[in-house]
Amino acid sequence: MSPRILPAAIFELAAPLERLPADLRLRSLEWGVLFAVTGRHTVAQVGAALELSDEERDRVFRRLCELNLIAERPLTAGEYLRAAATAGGDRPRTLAEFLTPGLAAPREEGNGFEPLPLPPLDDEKETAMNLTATPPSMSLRAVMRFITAQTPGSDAGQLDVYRAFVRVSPRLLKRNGITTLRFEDDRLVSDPDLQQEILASVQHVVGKPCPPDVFVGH
Amino acid sequence: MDPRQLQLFRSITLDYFAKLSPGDGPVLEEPYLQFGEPALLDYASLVRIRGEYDGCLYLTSPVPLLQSLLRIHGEAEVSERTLRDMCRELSNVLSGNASQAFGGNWEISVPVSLGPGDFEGLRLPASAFVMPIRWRGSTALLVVGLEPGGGNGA
Repeated sequence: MSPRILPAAIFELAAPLERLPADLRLRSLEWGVLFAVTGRHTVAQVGAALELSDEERDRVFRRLCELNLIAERPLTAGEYLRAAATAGGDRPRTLAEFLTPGLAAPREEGNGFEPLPLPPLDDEKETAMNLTATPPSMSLRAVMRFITAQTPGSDAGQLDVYRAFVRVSPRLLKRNGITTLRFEDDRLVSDPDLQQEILASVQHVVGKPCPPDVFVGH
Repeated sequence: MDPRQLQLFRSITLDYFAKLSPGDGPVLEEPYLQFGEPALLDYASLVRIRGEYDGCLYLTSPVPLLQSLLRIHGEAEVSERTLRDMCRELSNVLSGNASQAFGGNWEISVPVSLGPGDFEGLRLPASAFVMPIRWRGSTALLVVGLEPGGGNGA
């Protein structure tokens, strides 16, 4: 039976990217979502970042689950409520509606709501950040080399690198200490928000997702 | 933006300096991307562009580079007035180069010359492609700034 995908659910990689099977074949969109899974962002946030329709998003998450590439992460109560705030659209809701099925319920009628079991409240002091294993760092040089390899000529490649970074929030770059970037510079980015923006932007510009080797270690 | 257009724009801008001092031509240094604060030196010659993307092209120069240009043009006086004159001259060159390289379906604004005190309130794209040009011991920056989300997606 296909897993149900809830917009407020948070997924993490089932295994580190470097341990992906060499012969794994996915569609571009599936690669894009796989690389956008951070263990911190909800299904709704990942879908929004990649500009996917709800149907596309849920289909891809389902497929990645079926392939055991990602797994839903149990949430603390606090995380659960924060995650719920990212789903459900703009419709004003009462507190009761927010706290009950409406927040993360599947769209289909009658499926009920089965949140993952919440850990004891003692865990509440743990944040999403320290619950998650350290995410892999992204090498900006590897990202830039991937982009430039898609086009003949260094000017075209550098222009595409620029096009990709134009779409990334300068505020987010600055938050990570990046105010200039030379094409052969290497910077390791561990901020999942920035990683996600870069991955989405590269996919938009070159039409395919970054390969796993833009990530280095854990 | 077509890479050939960028090459042409860069090449004819370099040619301007090369023709002024044969044997002591400009050197294009490694380009880089700049985020947040715009790359601006003492003076700038700028045109806005509109087409596939909105944005601007500008050449920003330090005073010593403008002084070298003034000397080559036979102008002995170095003052804010003559430096601004030289900046205006570069603005006209830049505008002509931009029209030549990005003609066709790009709209190119009239050139603007900016000097001390003119940068406050100047709105430039937050991310820029910067091409440093080293000439006679000084470095000017030839900059392409595009706004995100234009045309087919900047």
